[in-house]
Amino acid sequence: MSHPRKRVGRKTAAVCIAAATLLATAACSSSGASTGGDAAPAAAAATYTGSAVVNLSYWSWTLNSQAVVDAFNATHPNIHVTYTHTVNGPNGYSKLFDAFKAGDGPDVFNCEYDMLPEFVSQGLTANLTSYIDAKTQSALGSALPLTTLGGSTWAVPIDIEPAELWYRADLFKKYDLAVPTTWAQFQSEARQLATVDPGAKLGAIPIDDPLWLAALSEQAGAQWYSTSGDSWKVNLTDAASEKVASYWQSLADKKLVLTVTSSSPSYGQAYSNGTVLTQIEPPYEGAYIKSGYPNEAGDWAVAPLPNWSGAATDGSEGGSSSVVDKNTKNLAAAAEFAEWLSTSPQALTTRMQGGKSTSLPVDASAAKAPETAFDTSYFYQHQNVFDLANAAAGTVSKSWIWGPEVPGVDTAMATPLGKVGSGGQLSAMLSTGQGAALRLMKNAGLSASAG
Amino acid sequence: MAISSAAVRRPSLGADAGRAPRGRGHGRAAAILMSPFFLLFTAVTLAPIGYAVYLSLYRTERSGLGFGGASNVFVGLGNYGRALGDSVYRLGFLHVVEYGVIYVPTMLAAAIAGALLLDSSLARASRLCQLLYFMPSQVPGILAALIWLYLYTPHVSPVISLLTHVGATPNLGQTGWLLPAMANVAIWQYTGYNIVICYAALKAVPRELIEASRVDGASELRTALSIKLPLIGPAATLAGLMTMVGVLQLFTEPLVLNSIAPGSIGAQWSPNLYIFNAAFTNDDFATAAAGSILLALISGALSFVVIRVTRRWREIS
Repeated sequence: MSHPRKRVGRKTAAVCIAAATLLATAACSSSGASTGGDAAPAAAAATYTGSAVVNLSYWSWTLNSQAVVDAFNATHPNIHVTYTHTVNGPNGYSKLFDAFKAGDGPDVFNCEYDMLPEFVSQGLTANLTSYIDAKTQSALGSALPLTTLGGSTWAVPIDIEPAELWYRADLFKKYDLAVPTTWAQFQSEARQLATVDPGAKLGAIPIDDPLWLAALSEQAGAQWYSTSGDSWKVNLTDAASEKVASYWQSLADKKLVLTVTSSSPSYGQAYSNGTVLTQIEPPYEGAYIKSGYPNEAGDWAVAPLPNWSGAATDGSEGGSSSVVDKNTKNLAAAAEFAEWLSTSPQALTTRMQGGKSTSLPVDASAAKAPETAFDTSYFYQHQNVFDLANAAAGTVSKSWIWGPEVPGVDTAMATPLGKVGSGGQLSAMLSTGQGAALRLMKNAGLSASAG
Repeated sequence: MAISSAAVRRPSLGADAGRAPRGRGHGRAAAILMSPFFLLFTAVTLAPIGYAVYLSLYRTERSGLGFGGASNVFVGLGNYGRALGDSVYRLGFLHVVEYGVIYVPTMLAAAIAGALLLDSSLARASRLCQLLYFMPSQVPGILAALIWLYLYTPHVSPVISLLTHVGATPNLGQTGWLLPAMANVAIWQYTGYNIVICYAALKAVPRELIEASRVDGASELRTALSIKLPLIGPAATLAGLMTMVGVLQLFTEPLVLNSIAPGSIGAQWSPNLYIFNAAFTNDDFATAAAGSILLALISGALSFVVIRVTRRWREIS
């Protein structure tokens, strides 16, 4: 059986490092963009204290959401949340945009980081800055930069998804390869593998997933989007992104990595027959590997993403947050629910029950219990994949944000990206994306410039 | 009251029926009987078209970072200009024309050949064969595309490994493979349907003509090419022209095959996909509406030409 990778992946549950708490203080300091708390006046905890029952609607596609909502309702007598299960991906967002057009959007909804700016720049979402108090700030600090646009916080992060190197420990042993810690080493191991077994590849480029290159570019120090005053800045073609693109282009040209569409049956095939030894994916992928390749139990392990300079850095590849409708009936209640979803141990334990998700909650301390309880028997030497993920989350850049019009930009980039491996160039994806982002933003009337 | 007057005025079916061509009651009955059609037609066709026209004249405008919200502004024909000015949209039309150039003649030739074979005196079990040929057209288009998606996927497909064994290197990333591969899905699906259409036309050919040609010593092949083929010309032409109009609506095949060849079949490969992507991925209903109306106008113009051409054909024959 082949298991095409579920692209629905990119989002799910949640948490972050114990270390993140320490880092959080230093967290929000970036060039032009972000900053959640520093400048904001002393924020109050998001709490609804009224006695009248507030009814809220909540849309999400994540695992166990109904149980999570039930748990919230049971412990919050003055707020009643009604849950609606939606689908992930373009169809789910399409439904959300249509609901907002009809004036019937949910009070709170789940949204991936790369889609957030589209909702925010349409003026649909509530500014939550004044609800993020110091405690929340420190618990969610590692991912708050992702939801902070133009100096205000627009969503409460749930999970953080640092890119990692998932690898077949058994095949690394068989071919006598070392787990690479730098990209230079990744390349040399790939060459060595080619000499031992020309049919095998060290890695794969998913040529239908622009997010993949975004995470790797972020790791190298790129900043595709930022804000400057009242204007969006777009920079997909900086030196860091070009460096990453030419690195992978060279691996693809030398046939040292496979170029494959991750939504096609070939992708699952390549991993179920051991043709490809690694995949660069965030923590949530662990669950997909476990369910997708049951015959490879005990073979898969995860390592930090190789880096460029020797210092551990990382980029985030997916993840989602809770967003509040600007026209919600009760902002305090909606904000309280959104924060509870991310920072309550009960919420995270309920979300992670059954062990079917390996998404990494931003709030590491609140997720400690379910992470410790996770059944590690599938992974190589019973590795607890959360430990490594929590450490990796601490090395994610604290300045990356996404911009508006990302769906259109992705569509534009998909064509040049899809040609990689059959004559196309990864750098063409970057220049196409740069042009498309500026064009689409200006078409929408937004202020945007390169840089 | 209305009913009784209608009853009184209802013309009898007798001799004077011809004298009173259409009484008022008659018109009313017709109006009542046809009203369900017009109600539905208005609700599900005219109203959506009207709404699409409305959507196509406005645009959502934001400013600065956009945090202040969006407003709906009247832009006249601006969205039409935007759609036509987008090379990706125009390229979609080129794609479907290229596809049609491969698909329509191939499918039609196969359909005519199949019908002539079925009609030849050597054919056996022609009823069973008709049924078998007809079957693929009953498979929903999305399923047909999915079946072929698997048959086109390297490492999974027996077809690909067979082709690889005989030395070919199929690659949907190349136009030379892509267009025939996509046309093949539709050829597989609709050839049988058109065989049945052409075969029905063949059945209407007067048998004495065919007997005469046999008596004159014409071979089976000669009879097929010189007698039968010209006589089913109008039916085949009509089938071909209808297929051409349908080609403009190309959607399912590129949507499904996109997942194995995203570089060559983009998410905006055909005009219909462009519209779909604008509306449901980019949340840009204005461009989608303008693109839809342009596509409808072009399809309408093509249909008009088709009808004119076929009418002339029928008059000639």
